[in-house]
Formats: sequence, C-alpha cells, structure tokens
Amino acid sequence: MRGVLTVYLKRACLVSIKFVCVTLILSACGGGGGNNQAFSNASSGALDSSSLSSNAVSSLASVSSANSSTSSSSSSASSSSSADSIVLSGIITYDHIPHNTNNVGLNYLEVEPRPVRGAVVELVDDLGQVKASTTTTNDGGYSFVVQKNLLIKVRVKAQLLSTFIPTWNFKVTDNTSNNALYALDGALVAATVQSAKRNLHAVSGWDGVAYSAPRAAAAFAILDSIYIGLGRIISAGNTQNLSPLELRWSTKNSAAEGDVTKGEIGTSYYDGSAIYILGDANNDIDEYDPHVLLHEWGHYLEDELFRSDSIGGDHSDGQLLDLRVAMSEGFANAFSGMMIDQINYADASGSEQSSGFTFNIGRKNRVNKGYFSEGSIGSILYNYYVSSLNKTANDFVPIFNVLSNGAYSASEAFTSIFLFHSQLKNQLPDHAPLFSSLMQEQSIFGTDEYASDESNNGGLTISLPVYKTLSVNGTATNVCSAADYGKYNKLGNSQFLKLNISQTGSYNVRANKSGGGNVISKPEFILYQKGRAIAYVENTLSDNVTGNLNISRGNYVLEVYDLNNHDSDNTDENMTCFNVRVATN
Amino acid sequence: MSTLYSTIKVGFAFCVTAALFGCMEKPVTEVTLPSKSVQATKTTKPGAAIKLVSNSLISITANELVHTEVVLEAMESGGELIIDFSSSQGLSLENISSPQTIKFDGSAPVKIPVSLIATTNGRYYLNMHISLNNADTISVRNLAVIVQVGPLVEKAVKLQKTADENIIALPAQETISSQ
Repeated sequence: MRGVLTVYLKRACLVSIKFVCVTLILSACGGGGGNNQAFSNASSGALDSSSLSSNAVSSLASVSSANSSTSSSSSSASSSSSADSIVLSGIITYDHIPHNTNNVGLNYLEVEPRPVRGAVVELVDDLGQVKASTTTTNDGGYSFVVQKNLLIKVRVKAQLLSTFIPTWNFKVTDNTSNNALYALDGALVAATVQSAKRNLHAVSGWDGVAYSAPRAAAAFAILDSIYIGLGRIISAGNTQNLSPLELRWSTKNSAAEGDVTKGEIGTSYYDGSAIYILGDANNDIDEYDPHVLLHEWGHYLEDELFRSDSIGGDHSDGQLLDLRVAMSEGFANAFSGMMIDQINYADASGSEQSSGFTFNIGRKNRVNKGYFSEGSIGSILYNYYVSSLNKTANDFVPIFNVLSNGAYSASEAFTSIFLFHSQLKNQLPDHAPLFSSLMQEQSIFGTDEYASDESNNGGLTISLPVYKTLSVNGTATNVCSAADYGKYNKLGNSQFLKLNISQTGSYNVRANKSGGGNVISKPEFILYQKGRAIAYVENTLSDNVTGNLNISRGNYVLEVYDLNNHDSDNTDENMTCFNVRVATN
Repeated sequence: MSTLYSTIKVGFAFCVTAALFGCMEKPVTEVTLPSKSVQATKTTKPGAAIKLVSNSLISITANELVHTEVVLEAMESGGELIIDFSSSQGLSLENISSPQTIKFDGSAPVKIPVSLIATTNGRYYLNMHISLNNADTISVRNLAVIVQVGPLVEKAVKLQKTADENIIALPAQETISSQ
C-alpha cells in the first residue's frame, strides 16, 4: 500500500512543484510503518477473552433466519428448547501426539484425545449455508438450539476468533491450496432427538507405521498451541487487539526452499505476515511441536505487542549473533517454554518422526556465553520466569509488563538483553538483583540499554564497545566489520554508532575504508530511530559510501557494515574498517 | 589583484569539487532496505547451523542418471554430521550410503556426491535429515534439493467454497446419538 501510494504521489507530482513532490513522498514513506492494529472482523463469533475459561453456550432463535451467525449465550441449553426445536450439542476432540519422555521424537503409542478449545463451530445446512455459529468451550463443548428435522451438519473451523476487545483471528490454512481454511466436517443428518448429540473427533491419520489417512488432527493441534499462548497473554493482562494471523500448514510443506504454494517453505518460520509450518512426514513435521509453534508465535507477538529490531536469518544456540537477533530468538525460545511450562525444547523430525532434537532452555553452562548468544538470553529469561526470589514463580506478568511497556518500545537503543534489563530495573527494582545475577552467570555485564561497561567481546575485539559514538562535525569514528562468526546476522558483521542530532537539518554521512584487510570493501549504512530504519544508503563505490540525509533533532543509531560480510552469496570475507563521519551540509 | 585571483581560483576549484562530490553522492529520500535483509526478515525455527550451498533446484530429464554434488556448509568450527538421505516417491538415489557420518572442521564446505534418476516427469525432492554434533550440543536441520524432472506442470486446486471462504473439509470421526 505504501509503495502504491508513493508511485501515485510521484506521478501526481510530475506536474507539480518538485519540492512539494519530495515532501509528499517523504510524508508517505514516513507515515506507513509501525501500525499493526488494522483489523477485519471476519464474522461474528462467540469466543472472547472471558470465554477462554467459561462455558459459552449458544442458541439459535430461529434457523429460518438465513445466514444468521449471531449467537447468544444461554446458561441452560435445554431450557431454551421448545416443541419445534431441540438442543444439538457435543464435544470436539483431536488426537494429540506427545513427545517421547526424552523429548526426542513423537510417541504415537501415547496418543490421546484432547479437546478442541476456542474453535469456531458452525451449523451448515444442505445448501452449504451457515445457519449458526459459536465457539467451543475449554472442554471442547458446543451447543446450539436448532429447529427439529433440519438437515444439518456440524463444521469445526481451525480458527480462534474474538470480535470483542481484545480481538483476534487465528486461522490454520493451507498455503498449497490458496490459503484455504481447514475445517472438520460432520455428516449431514436431520436434527432429531436421536441425532442431538454429535461428537466430532479429528484423527491423526497414523496407522502405527505411517500416515495412511487424512491428517485431520494436525490443524487442531496447531490451533491448540496458539490457544494456550493466547490464554497466557490474556491472563498476563493484554488488552490490545491482535492482528489476524494465518498459520499455514500443509502435508506438502517441506524443507525444500522454492515455491511456497507448492509447499517448498524451507523450514517453519514467521515472515511478518504469516507463520509457515512444516508438515512433510518422515522428514520434518511441526504440528505436534508446541515449542516450535509458540516460538514463531512469540515472534508474531513481538511485532504485535512488544518490539523487536531483529533482522532475522539463520541462527542456532551456539552461534555468536547480532545482539538484536540474539534477543529475539532467545526470547522466542524462552517464551515457548514459558507458555507450556516445559523447560526442554523439543522438535521432532526424521523417519516416522522418531528423532529430532531437544535442548534445555534454562541451561546455564554453555560455550559462547554472552549478550550475542540466544542460548544465554533464553536461559536468563527462562530462569527469571521460574524463579521465586522476590517474585512469583512461573509468572509471565513481569516479562509481559516489561516488554509491553511504552518505554521499551520507545527506546532509542536497539532491542537487546541490555534494554530489557534497563527497563526491568526501572519497572521492577526488586527483581533487578536476580536478573543482574542471571546476566552475570551468562557473562553479560552491560549496565544500561547501551551496554555501558560490557566487557565480554565474544573473542572479537572489534565488538566492544557495543555502541560506538559518532559526533557531528567531530573526528571520524573508526569501526570494523568482520565475518569471523558467519555472515548477515552474526556478531561483528555490523557496528552500531550512537548519534545525537541537536539541530534539524541536512547532514552528510560517509564511511571511508581505513584499515582492515587489503581487499575491496562495500560499506553501507542504515540510520535508525527507535529501532525503525529511516534511511538506507546503498553501496555504489568501492571502499566508501556517502549520503546526504535530512535528519530531525534527536538520538539515532547508525548501523555500518561491509556488504561483503552481510551477503551470504558473497565469498569474500575479511575484516574491513571504516572511518565514519557526520558533518552538517 | 593576485589575492583576488587566488580567491577566485580556490573558489572555482571548491565549486568543481563540490559539484563532483554532489554527483557521486546519493541523496537519500526514501528507505528501501537491502533486498538481502528483506529476504532474511523471516524468523526461522531453531536448528543446526548448516546450510545448503549448492543449487537448491536441479533440472533433469526423465530416465537420465545425473551425477551431481550436494555441498553443505556447517557454520560451526568443527564437529560431526550424521546425514540421512531419502527421496520422494519416484526419485531414486543411486550408490549412496545412508546414513553418512562426516567429520568437519569448519574450514571447508562438505561435498557429497549423489546420483539421481527418475523415470517420469514431475517434481521430486532429495531430503537430508542432518544431525550436527559438536562439543556442546546436538542439533538437527532438514534440508532438501528440488529435482525437477521435465517441464514444470501447474495443477489446478479444487476447493469447497462456503460463504466467500475457501474451506478444506477434513473428515471427522463422528458419533451421533441422543442426548
């Protein structure tokens, strides 16, 4: 939308004054980001924040009112029936497949039915018309009052929906079938006393050796992990609406990277608009991996309720990462464990889903401890969560409050464990000693959001201080970019410079190669305000980059890097250093 | 007079230099982040630090035995890879042992020769279930190579449409009784 608006404005401005044009384009670009609170109320439903733990029973006053999907609660279903109507009710369940006790691989021998909670249930007639709608209760129950003898079937959508504040709309859809919504369909049967109880069960499709039947349970297993997370977020006090989200799963979703409409998704991920989930049996399926599902949903919440400045990309526990990525991934790991109170992260895969891997989210002993380690961040957050020192154990509220606080979102520093610590000290000073101690156990010593006094360089001297300082019209600041630990999102790829602009105006920002390997470099930079990129200057010349920027008064962070150390397709990787300057024009 | 001349010369030189610099500089008016960064804003699930370096798509013809190489890069300083190979139905892997255990030191990519053949056109997958063991942890990642045999054929998708919403109707195990 922002791009379309920009093009439109550009065209309009061709016949107008150039100055006005530039101003308009700038306005359009500046105003488009950040607002995730656009909602579409798909249809009316019965699930709201209060019904997460209540028994919502819906009644249909008159089935002859076509397309009526409005439900009203009734404390007693039977009392609302009359001679012409009956109560049609039942329980919806799905096959839950747990992990083995060692957390490696799925244990199909321990399959158990679990309730489908909070899902949209509809009554659909022989013409395919939706006659009524409600949502399942915590035990998977649903109830309608329906006209006798009406030919009707029960449909359970893989959808969590609330149209009351806070609103949400989570759907499990199939990216290989035009993002169609999964739904469990019962048989079309006349509503009589004899057919008034209709229990629907979604089977796993596993026959003991292989999946030989449709995997109906998968969509509801995914939905239930989200339901659990949703309940915890509401309990923690969330009152903000949540943007609609699709969780796209298919039996075709495989580790191949290519066309997502063919299921070639590469891995399970969140891309800012949807969560894609693996479903390729005997290779990697994630529908029964709540940690994986809630990890990605945690990233969605970062976008929705909190803030993350992560640049994404591949990551693993032992890697030395960009501090923004380490914070986001460490949080998502810890979050997944907190939501289900399971310290051992489990991801099943392989032949018959019998292998996979596990790790202890709260583990304290590890190699590569530091602010750059997602393992360290996950350990700190999880151990803080479970601690009862001056706080309630297993309480997500403090973490939710720190992350959702306006000061966290509005910080001029990047999101990192340093920012979290700084905000926690302000909001919950009684918890600060515990948190500081956990940080020190992970060799993290920075004392404020800019990591002042941090002494752990991760074996890379150029990484400290975490934030360098850049002065307008001052001497150049020399910084280096390295790929010792990999490219794009690893420690040392980028350098961060604090920049204070005391007067709004035009500034020249430049970086010229000065030091490092005797190679051709490709410096680039991105200017951030409160974690949001406001200017990017692409490299067009060897060994230097320069750009004129109109910058308002305020505090910024300038990210400087050698593109060779960011681009994974590039085989050149050397430490290169740059003199960075900012001068008034 | 000479001072004035010198001043004009310096001023002219300054103007030329400034103009040249102006041409070289790229005024920044809009934020378009690097394409690599846009691609990578995917936040992926945790997994072993290993990636496919060779082509992720191989195009071959039916009944053609193709000898190729899968190249993997482990972003760890060293350890052991245990790789299970499998293929989708219709694609045969020739002369390859599975699982394979490969030690690596992080200095060079891991190259694995593979031979593939399929008798009918279609889209197939060479799957690798990779366990990476280092001194600290065991982690897993699945990677796959797309093997396109013959031309790409798009299939139409049939969906059940209800009230402007596409639905995939899953069969329920249903028990119907009286209350």
